[in-house]
Amino acid sequence: MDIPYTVEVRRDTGLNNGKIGIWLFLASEVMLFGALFASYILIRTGSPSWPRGDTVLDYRLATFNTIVLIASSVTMVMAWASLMRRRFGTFRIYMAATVLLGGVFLVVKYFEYSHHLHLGEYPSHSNFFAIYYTLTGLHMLHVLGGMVVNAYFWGPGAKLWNTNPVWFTNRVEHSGLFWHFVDLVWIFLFPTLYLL
Amino acid sequence: MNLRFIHAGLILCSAALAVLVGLWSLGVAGLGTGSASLPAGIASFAVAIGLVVYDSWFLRKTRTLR
Repeated sequence: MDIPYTVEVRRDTGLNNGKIGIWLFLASEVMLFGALFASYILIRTGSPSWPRGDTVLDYRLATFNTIVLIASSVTMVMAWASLMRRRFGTFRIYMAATVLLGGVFLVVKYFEYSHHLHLGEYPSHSNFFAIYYTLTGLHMLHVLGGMVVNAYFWGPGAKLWNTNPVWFTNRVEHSGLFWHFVDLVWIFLFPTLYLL
Repeated sequence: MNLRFIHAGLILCSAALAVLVGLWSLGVAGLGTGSASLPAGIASFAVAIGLVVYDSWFLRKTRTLR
């Protein structure tokens, strides 16, 4: 039995089920990160003193990571656009680049975390570091999750292209929507934690 | 709402972030309290303009992708 509405759109929603699913998932993610940002604001405004981000964190590394993530959003959308134009070879190049750029982001983050842990700046060090590790750690897990999904579409999941290219293109678009959400979260995290 | 529009929106947010970083760099450079510099601020504004140019190019190039 075929799963309904994987390719064709439902008349009542005007969308296929995959797209509704990813938007509902992203709505729950907005609530998760929204709650954490609200906690950050409450803790910061209630604190008698709060360090400015650039005095305790390396904003240069974070700037580099911001550029990396924005570049990965470009390669992600190009991967999807390649499939829309029926260029599977180009899709694989752009998708590989997206996964690699995600990897670069995580490697930079590893060095950043190592530096702070070496200095004894654990989450228990201060409220600032508690919220820094919570927000950036959760974001890092999202980057890792997105990389796993994208790597699957680059590798074994790409078999679907041979049997149902429209469905595969839709899946890559949904993965791209998640990847863009992760980038958007970082665009808010970067100035909040590293600059202000 | 497809990926094309979401990407265009993300790039606009990135351009806004680049402007913010530019203002922050100029502010820190003006106060002389940090290591951010005037060239870094100017570079950030240039990046913001570059992102807006890319955004309009991207929307024109992908007009047929719906």
